[in-house]
Amino acid sequence: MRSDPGSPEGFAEFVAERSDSLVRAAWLLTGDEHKAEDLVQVALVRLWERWSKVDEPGAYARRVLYTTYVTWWRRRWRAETPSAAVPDTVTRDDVAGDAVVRLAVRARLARLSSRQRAVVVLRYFEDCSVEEAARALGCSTGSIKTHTSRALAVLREDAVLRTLMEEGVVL
Amino acid sequence: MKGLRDLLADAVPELPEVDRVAEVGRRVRRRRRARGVVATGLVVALTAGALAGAQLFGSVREENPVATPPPIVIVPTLDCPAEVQHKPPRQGTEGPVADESAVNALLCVYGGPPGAYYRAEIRHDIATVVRAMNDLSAEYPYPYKVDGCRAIGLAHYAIVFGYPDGTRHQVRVDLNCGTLFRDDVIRFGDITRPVEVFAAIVRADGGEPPYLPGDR
Repeated sequence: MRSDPGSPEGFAEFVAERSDSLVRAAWLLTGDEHKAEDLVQVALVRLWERWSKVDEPGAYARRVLYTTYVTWWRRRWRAETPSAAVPDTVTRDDVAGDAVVRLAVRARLARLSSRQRAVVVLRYFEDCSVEEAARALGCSTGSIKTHTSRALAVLREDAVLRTLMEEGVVL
Repeated sequence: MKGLRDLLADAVPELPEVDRVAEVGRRVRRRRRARGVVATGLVVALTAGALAGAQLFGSVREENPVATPPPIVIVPTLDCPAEVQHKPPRQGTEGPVADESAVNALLCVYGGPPGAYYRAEIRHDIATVVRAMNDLSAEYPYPYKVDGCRAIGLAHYAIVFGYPDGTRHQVRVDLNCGTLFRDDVIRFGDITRPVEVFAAIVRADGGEPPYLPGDR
């Protein structure tokens, strides 16, 4: 076996296929492109080291990514602060503007706890079931449901997102 | 109709293309080099110590002065303590609970029958567990004196650390009394946090430690 990644059967292909979605999920968790890359690299290096023993590399990489984020990121990056730049009231035109919505979503994500944020990304970005999210985070399904409910409540507090709900967006 | 998934997907900016396989390669090689440096440093330290000791006692063997000693890495064998210990809350002595130089650590979970009913050993990322312990508050948290331990029957944890010199330290997490302690060094507050960190490492490695109280 060669010592550089890419030699074990399928690792390079896995990275090519899955790392984009991993890094996008990591961005939603961290809100920063460099931190997201770093988080994904931690997961990929751990996956590479256990590649021959892991049955489901996607699930394993996801588990490492989220548990690493929840356990370590909170301390390392807790300097992150929610943005105050989002307007309190919006008009229909504002809602139509993607930038306003994007900012609102980012600002609301930043207000969530690390575990709530992880649950939102797992359930609503990665389309994981409650059971899959529980496996990824290493906690119970009850815990996932609680975090989901609290996180959605925080998201719904935002005026922009509330307006979107009234417009028919599922939230 | 848009859903939350679309909103989340739209919130992610354009991210640059990165050769992640190459980056994994760089990080793997860096980790190996770091491990090599640590192992080499350990061998050099042990060799220097052995030579210094031998000179001190006048028994240096000169017939083979350039022989390379085999690499020695001491990883102590760890056992769970048979009994749980309780530590009522009181102001403890100064100092860290554990040291980040530990090379392995064993989590022991108690509750119900005597002895640990779950154990798991880790040999990486131990410093994060140690930091979670040392970050806890050493300040006595109550405005009055608390004599007893009220929360009878909750789980109890022990984390045993092994060090390169072969020594072992036991740290107890006593949910009955709300204390985390090693001998007379006592911490308060979120005392299950180090256990959560340990459990997360075990889970990332494929293990299934039991959930902590309150995480159900």
